[in-house]
Amino acid sequence: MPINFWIGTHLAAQGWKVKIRDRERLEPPHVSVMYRTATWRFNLRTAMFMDREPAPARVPVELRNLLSDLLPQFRAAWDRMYPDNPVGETHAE
Amino acid sequence: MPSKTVRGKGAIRYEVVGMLLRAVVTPDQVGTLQLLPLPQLREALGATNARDLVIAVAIDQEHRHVILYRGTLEPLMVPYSWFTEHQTGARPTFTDATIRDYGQTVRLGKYEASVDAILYDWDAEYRQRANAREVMLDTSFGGSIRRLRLSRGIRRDAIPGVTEKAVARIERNEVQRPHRGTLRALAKAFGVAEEALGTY
Repeated sequence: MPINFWIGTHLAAQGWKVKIRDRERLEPPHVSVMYRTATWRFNLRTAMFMDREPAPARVPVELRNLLSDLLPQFRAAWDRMYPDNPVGETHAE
Repeated sequence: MPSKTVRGKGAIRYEVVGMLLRAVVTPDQVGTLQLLPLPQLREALGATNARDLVIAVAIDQEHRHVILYRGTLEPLMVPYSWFTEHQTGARPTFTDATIRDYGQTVRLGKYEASVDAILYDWDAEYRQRANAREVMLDTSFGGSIRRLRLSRGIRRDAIPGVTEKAVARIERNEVQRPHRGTLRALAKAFGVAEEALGTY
């Protein structure tokens, strides 16, 4: 089952979602920040947005702050879902 | 089709899209055809990234394929085998296929697959665009091999015909030109065409 993270009623009511689905592009580990037809991938190793488009600036500051705060929770959830491709595995392995 | 809840002009547009799609699926697949709910469908069809969204899904039970219709109405066939059972125990239920998240998620029972992951694996043109969008992507051949290996869940020591050390050297770009036999073995292990190895 996918993991939908709790981001508070305010952001959720606006239509924002943060989730990890059962089948994702695995590398690098990330959460998907979704708003209507757009998705931002947030890298769980670097704690940075992975894509130039859509522009990360479109994500509300409130949610960007929350992504940083919830990073340990995201990493633990990813490692539970994808133990063969954990967040801790680095390029220099 | 969930169109019973839609009224007015929206219902007409919804039915037109449904008719268009029903015209391109076989009679066996018509019963399994599911569209996005109307408000999401309207937005997906009008989105600048409509081609990267899925607006409908049908199931081809005979050939064991999930048929996805993109926002441009182009079909994309994905074999059941791609929707791998998850290590947490989540497994796809192909008889319960729907589209969620404005066309960004394919839901098969309680199992969810990212449309981005599907297109990345099954559409070379999408893959090229996705890589171009990515910040700080390792665009080297080794980076591509590493992404492919990890996305397939394959350990370095589990590729027949290639040693663990050789895989590591290729991923670190320490091998200028891998042997043809090595490339063939990697392509076979990852289930991709040899010439596509460097595009992931």
